[in-house]
Amino acid sequence: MATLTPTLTLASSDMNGDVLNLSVTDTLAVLGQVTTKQVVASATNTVFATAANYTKSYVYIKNHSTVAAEIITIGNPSIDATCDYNNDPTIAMDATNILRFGMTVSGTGIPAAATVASITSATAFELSASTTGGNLANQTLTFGTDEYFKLGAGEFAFFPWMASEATAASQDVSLALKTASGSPVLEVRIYQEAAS
Amino acid sequence: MATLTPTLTLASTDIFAGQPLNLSVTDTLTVSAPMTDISRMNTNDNIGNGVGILLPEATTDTYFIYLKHTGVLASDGITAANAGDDFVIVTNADGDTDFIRLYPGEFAFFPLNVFDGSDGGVEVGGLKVEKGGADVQINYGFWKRS
Repeated sequence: MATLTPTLTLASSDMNGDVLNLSVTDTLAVLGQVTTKQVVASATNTVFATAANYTKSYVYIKNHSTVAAEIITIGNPSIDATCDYNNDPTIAMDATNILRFGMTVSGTGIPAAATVASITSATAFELSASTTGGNLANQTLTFGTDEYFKLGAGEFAFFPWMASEATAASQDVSLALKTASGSPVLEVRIYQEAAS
Repeated sequence: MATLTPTLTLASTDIFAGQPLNLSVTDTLTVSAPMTDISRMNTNDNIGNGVGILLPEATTDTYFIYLKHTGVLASDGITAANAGDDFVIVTNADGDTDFIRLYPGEFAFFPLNVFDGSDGGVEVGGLKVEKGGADVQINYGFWKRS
């Protein structure tokens, strides 16, 4: 077991009538995987940390770009490999509990800009357009889920990541990145908490 | 407008064999109102947007967020929270997308994404803290990116 000591200071001299000078620190027991890497963001939502591969972890991310327009958004895609469809808006899958109305949908036979039009049951939903390509079974579809962070050039974040900790909504909390401009580089450091 | 300077250090002498970790990163952020100074609330408090909601849905600005689980129960404001499920769930304003759990003593700092019109075009966005077990006390701050 190893010890990781994060310290955050927040300082400002012109925000209010008083000076902001916060300093917090923590002592974290970490073990298991330590991931240190740099990932290039693109317009395609790309997973850089798969929740199933980690227990609870502490994540540091930083956008290394110096170009103001090269903003990186961080969210978690939701991928399901049990989708069946046949030239129709109706798509069947094992469980729709990861879906919400309006999510974008992409995959083989899915028209561009398609979204979840309605969730009709625990095992089926309606796409906003008919699928193409005939009868396709157990296809992997990617649903555009919520985005949490928006890292401008030089900005960073540090947070405890749930990873494979169970969530009530069976939410996939894998971390994915994308950008609308350029190819900014995201530095990623993941420290897996030691089992308690 | 004002300047917020966050600095994060990550240090360890034993995480790698033969190589200590000593990362330090800082940034200079231009922020403006609405913003807070470091503040304190319980997970069952309503500071104006609903119980536990720091920023409402359809928030269209990017906010820099600081959160810390103080380890203190809301019930008396003094007692350390020691129960295993006394974590804080950090989620969007309507509570349907959890993305962080803070256990006693843990903190987070991040730029919260803007409302993006997903989830049917009626949300997502905003920021809410919920109790895992008992209600607890947090420290927080938010500053709008200028």
